[in-house]
Amino acid sequence: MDFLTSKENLLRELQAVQGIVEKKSTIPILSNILLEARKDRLELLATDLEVGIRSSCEATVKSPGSVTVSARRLFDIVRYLPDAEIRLKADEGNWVVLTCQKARFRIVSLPKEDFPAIPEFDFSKGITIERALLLDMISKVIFAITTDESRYQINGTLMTLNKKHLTMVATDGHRLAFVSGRLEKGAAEAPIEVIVPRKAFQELPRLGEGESEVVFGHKENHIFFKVGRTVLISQISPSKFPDYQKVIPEGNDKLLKLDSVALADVVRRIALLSSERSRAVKVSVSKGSIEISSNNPEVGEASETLDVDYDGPGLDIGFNAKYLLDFLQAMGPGPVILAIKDEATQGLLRPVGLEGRDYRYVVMPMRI
Amino acid sequence: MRAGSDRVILHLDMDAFYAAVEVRACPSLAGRPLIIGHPGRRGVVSTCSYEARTYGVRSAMPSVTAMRLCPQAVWMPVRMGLYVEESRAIAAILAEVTPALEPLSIDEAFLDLIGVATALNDGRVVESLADGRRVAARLKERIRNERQLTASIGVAPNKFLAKIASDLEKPDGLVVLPAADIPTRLWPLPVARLWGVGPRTAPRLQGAGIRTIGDLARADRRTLARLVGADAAVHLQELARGEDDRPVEPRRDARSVSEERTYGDDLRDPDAIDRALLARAEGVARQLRRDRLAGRTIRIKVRTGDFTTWTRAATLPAPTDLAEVIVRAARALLRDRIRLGSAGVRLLGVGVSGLAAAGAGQGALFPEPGEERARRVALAADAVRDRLGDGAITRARLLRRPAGRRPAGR
Repeated sequence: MDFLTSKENLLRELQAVQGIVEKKSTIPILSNILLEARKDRLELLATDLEVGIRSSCEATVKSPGSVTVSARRLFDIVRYLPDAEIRLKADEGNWVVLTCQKARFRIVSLPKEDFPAIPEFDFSKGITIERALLLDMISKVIFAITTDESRYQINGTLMTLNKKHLTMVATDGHRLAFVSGRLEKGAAEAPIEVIVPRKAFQELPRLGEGESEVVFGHKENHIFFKVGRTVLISQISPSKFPDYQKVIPEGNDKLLKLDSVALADVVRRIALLSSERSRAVKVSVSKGSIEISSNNPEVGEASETLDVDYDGPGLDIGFNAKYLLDFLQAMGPGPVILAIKDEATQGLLRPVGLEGRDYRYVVMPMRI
Repeated sequence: MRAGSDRVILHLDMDAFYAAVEVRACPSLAGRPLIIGHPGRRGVVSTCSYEARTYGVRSAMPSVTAMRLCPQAVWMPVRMGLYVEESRAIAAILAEVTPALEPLSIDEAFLDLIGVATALNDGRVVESLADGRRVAARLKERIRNERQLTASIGVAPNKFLAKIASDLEKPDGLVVLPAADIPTRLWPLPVARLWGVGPRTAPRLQGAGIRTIGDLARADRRTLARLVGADAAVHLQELARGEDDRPVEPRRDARSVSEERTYGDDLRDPDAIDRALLARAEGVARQLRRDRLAGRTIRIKVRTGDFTTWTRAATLPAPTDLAEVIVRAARALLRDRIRLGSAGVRLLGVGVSGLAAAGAGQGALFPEPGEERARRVALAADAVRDRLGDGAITRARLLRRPAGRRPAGR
């Protein structure tokens, strides 16, 4: 293997895969990136076995072939190189020699045969999704994914695609975010329902800046997202996502229309005196106003009221302030409806007048 | 701290507590000799009713002896859960009087009444032992009316005298023991009634002619020091003179629950270590459930044969009181955060902190079926242990296996 490419090209591609490569992997090869030189292109592959990225850039290939080297180390070297042409050449044994102007690096590599196989997809059979739609929907649910890795049923986003209808659901067992939108160009012939690992949706927005479309594919246990020259490949979780439709409440009859920014400001302030562990705030609903309050025996107490057009019976309900704020931030500025029923039933938050999306957020109350 | 003579300390001791709770649950037992315990060959008497005591039956006596002394007695198994619940109800009544409440055991407590304004003293501040008597009488009345149980109470200027006093006219007694009554009421009692005079010290004192507390109070300090040591001599004579200035110490809320064990031979087999971890998690989970608590932070402590000690902690998304959840976190800590290498485990501990009342806090959208099942099993197992003792039921994984034999698979 022997090829030449520009620092700019190589740096851009190496940067894109850094998030995928395991920093402290127990399997050394997973810290490496596979470089494959063929014809006039350099192909780069990185994987942590769950999520992988296949990317490429232009290169002058003198002799085709492939090597694997530490992704982090190669990235660091390339970062500090002058803005010039870089040459990478396989050397005797397991060595790779990198030269750039007068700089020369000899780097250890691992046998390419050890690098895991990454499945491929024929994107002529893919479904086109607007990139802006996909990224917006991801940002509306990804924060709700559980951080408890042992809860593998919900350790990802449930994505369903039915004709032109795309939905995403994520939960940590205490709150749940649901969003649906409509594809402009593409459509799924047969319904697709997959659990996308957190990492896949964390990395996807970083790929293909400036591109307007993502092509999606599903084959056996893998899903594929193609953005420009880059493909993100992800395993899908074999577990069964819980029946989320059951927990989206229908009968919450106490409707409170508030401004998301004003509500977030109040909750953020009042939560300053809530117990650090529970982050509980109390929402007390009465005619014409709601009061948000907190108290922590060791620190003190706080309360603030917001005017609201409400004429029903009073109610006190507790919520984790973080759960409320996560949603209010994700929905952005605008009117929001908080629908509640009683102090034990999950609350429902929903932005009003959101064009082209159905966005709902369910929060289980706290007993306070 | 006030001077000893200024205080009004109340000691409350429930009368034949377990037996009384059982009689209340089953009134046909009233008036009959009742023994709580297991009547088997290796069983012991946990407690017994006063009727059984007249036959000479005592707590901690081997069951075979009790059966010989009182063959007509009715035997009931220990139902710890029931007694714990009753104990809480009584503690709640006491807590209404004062927060300066020190529970000594499931059926005994000290209250420091001085300066307390209570409805039981017609809303006036308790200032004297006479006020203390009024509070004690009304407390007994409340417990009789609300819990259908009797208590014996001692009121005195300190903890030691209050405890002696509560025992003087048991059952259903109420004795006020001012310092002036020490010569007539304390000194005639046998020395064994003093705290710190046990089965080893008592014969030694009696051998030297010190039979009563009064003998001890009057004994020569140097003679006494030769018998029991200098420090104990000072301490015992203070008690014998009715002097005791220890404060009533309300038990602080538990901040953590933990259990650890040291092994005679270092544990090396990963399977044995894992089972030890499960056993500690099980013990901690049981304590949590007994105290109606749940905790979020799981801590493990490991000491190896060379005395290197690790403690590692992890915080769960939600509080738990289940061994399954605790051991899952503990295993992950041991696996990922401790490098045992080839070292054997000398000490292993599991603890839970970040405690809150069980059931409080964040509700769950999707109750986890595994956890729901584990909770039902745990509660059923708790009920069995409450009735038959802690050894009555355990996990198959914690059963001791014959050495060298392994079940095929799990």
